Amino acid sequence: MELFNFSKKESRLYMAFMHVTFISLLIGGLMGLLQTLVRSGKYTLPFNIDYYTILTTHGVILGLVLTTFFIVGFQFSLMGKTVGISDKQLLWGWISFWVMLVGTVLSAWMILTGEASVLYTFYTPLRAHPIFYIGLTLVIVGSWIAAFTNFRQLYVWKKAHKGEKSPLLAFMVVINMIMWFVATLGVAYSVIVLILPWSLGYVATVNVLLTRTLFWYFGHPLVYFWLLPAYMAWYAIIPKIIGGKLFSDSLARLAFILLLMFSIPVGFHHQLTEPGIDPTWKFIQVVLTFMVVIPSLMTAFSLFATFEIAGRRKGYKSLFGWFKKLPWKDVRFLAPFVGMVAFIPGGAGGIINASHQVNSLVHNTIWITGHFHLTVATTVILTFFGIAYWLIPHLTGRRLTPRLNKLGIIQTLIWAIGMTIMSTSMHIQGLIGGPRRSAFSEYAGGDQVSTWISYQMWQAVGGIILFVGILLMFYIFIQLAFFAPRGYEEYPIAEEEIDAEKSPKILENWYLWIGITIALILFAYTIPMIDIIKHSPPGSIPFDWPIGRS
Amino acid sequence: MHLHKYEKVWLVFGLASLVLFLLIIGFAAFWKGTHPQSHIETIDPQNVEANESFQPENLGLTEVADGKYVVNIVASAFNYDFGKEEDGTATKTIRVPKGSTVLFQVTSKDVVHGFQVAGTNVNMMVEPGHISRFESVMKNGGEFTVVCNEYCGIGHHLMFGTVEVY
Amino acid sequence: MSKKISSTNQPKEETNLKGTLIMVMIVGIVILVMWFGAYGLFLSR
Ligand code: HEM
Ligand SMILES: [Cu+2]
Ligand SMILES: [Cu+2]
Repeated sequence: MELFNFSKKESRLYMAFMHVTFISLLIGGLMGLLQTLVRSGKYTLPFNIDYYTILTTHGVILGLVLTTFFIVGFQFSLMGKTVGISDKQLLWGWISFWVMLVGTVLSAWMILTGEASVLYTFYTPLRAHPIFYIGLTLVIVGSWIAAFTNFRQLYVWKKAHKGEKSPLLAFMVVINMIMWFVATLGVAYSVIVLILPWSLGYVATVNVLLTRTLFWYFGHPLVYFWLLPAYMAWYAIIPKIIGGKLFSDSLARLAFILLLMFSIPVGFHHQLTEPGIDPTWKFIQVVLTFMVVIPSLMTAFSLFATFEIAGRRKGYKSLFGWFKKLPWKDVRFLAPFVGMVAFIPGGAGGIINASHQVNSLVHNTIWITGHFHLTVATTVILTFFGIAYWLIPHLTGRRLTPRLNKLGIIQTLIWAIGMTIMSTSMHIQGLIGGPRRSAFSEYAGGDQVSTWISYQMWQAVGGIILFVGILLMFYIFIQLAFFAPRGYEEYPIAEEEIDAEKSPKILENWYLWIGITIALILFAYTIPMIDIIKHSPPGSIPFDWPIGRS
Repeated sequence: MHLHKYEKVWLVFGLASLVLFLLIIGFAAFWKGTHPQSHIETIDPQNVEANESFQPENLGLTEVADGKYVVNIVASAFNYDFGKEEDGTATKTIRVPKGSTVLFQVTSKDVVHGFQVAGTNVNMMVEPGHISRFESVMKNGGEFTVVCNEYCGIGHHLMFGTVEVY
Repeated sequence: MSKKISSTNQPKEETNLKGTLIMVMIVGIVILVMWFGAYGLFLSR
């Protein structure tokens, strides 16, 4: 397998994305801490800061900014490593970075001045300042530039390597970016065509259900856009770290193709309790949602098999001997591993959420928040940390020293403990009805509410522990970026077995997979969309005062 | 593409579980009619009184038949209008006997809200222009907090009510 | 293609993945238990 060395210029681009990632982590983490403190009822925010300003910051900065910057930067590095990058493509990389950064700064400015307390879902008819929407649009456009640069990178490589299969990681990046592009078209249309003119006052009313449907057409693939880079590391990087080989190149590709096809036509599972959508179409999308579980089941098997085969090669014969001998003291393995474990209850919870009428048990309760702090804020984030431990020093020409490795292990454990406490108490509070997206409130009082508040105390305990974890991670990042001793840190990419089975050509038939993806989207959305538009009520005028804008 | 025999076992097991879940919820939804709230009826959010159910005198609890009730509610930032008590004060608590069948009908005059009778299966989105409707048998006794569970603005956590099942 | 595989790449003695099977089955059981737990709670309300 041919791997490219990074030039200084190249490393600088990838590092730029990492800097934004970790600054976002620090800011967003602080907001998370404040949220849990406010919700404990023992603390009020200073300077009249509104809870929902903090919550919007947290959701936008961690859910949209941190994730997108890390993913685009990491994926650029994967492409650079496996198929190379030209000077012109590098320039486009920088353009995408700056467009995304300008967008982020514009949106952040509006959020922090209280002009956009609409949360990261910005549901109409609450109206934020138009600049907030322009900022979000720029973040998306910047990520599109990255996507098309990635497509071009693989295309150029393919032309130079006629007849060869594309490198697995490059293939995966392109899958993720195709999914991202197709998905963001929906939200971009909603923001640019429906919301922006309305927020500027050029159009009097907006179709609320339509903007929500377009948001969730994007919102579910969004979570897969976060998850796929973690899967890339699990499939193609972790095996190298544990001294093994790829389990199966073709099964990995197949899993990614299934993820591409089934992660978009499923947005209704976020709208199960909404009026105005035919329940039969909701159920159809529920079935499609269950399909997207299959590639994750395949992934679970591949991972355990990779571990077991690697261990058995090293001579561990007993049933679980291979498990005990995994490199537990290597944070590059441990952090993603804890992430994988969190995905077991996380994924199982997701199946519950998507179960049509059962959704009303959990919809918009704090259970949901507990769910995605397992999936994105543990599974995905710990895998990203696991990547950062080697990627950052690789880019800065430094080393992950034993001391930093040890701090990383402590960081992972702190995260695991804090998140277990916070997420478990959120799950339980949600099952007994406690709502999400809510500042501290005693409502009408009574037993039910006091039970909720006792769980919110536990969430504050978890939140404090997690924030310590964030400070430690930020410290490790600064060390790896600026102070760790100079040296060489490996960019671990797993190889195939020498006698590996050849991957079928059809796996690289892009027309076929993109065609099926589009067909599934048309199937799942055309009729209900026509219904929504045909049966739409009088539109909604904008509302500014509820979010505290005058 | 070669699949290990245990992987086949695992995928068959996984798929069977998913199919089982779908059969259970599909049966409940299409044969027993327990779909999630999906009422398809629109309304003018700036003139909700045009619909009889949401005229001021029809808000709150009405017994329509023996053991059958309708509760009409107008949501707005940051209040649920459950109608008025006899003495003219705003109703905050809905009281129904255990085992009664209650149809909740809610709409919004302004932004998107939620309506959840926490601790029951009554949980729906309330959107301007749409009527949300869900019927439930109140099997369990107790005091249940009604919460707005969709963000509707800076007073969102102050929007609540109570359902008492006695 | 399938002919070529069966002649030259005769699947060697299938790797021992007993541990893997047990691990994924544990995952499967977690999914089943959580799902039926939630469904039971849904029915009881
Ligand atoms: C110090 C660590 C963290 C703490 C203490 C924390 C805490 C919280 C809390 C309490 C909420 C719910 C607030 C509410 O519903 O009223 C929340 C929401 C959220 N968190 Fe975190 N969180 C942390 C880290 C993260 C990370 C790393 C991510 C993503 C990568 C994340 C993403 C989100 C998102 C997207 C929301 C939803 C916001 C919304 O509903 O609008 N959080 N967080
Ligand atoms: Cu989803
Ligand atoms: Cu609300």
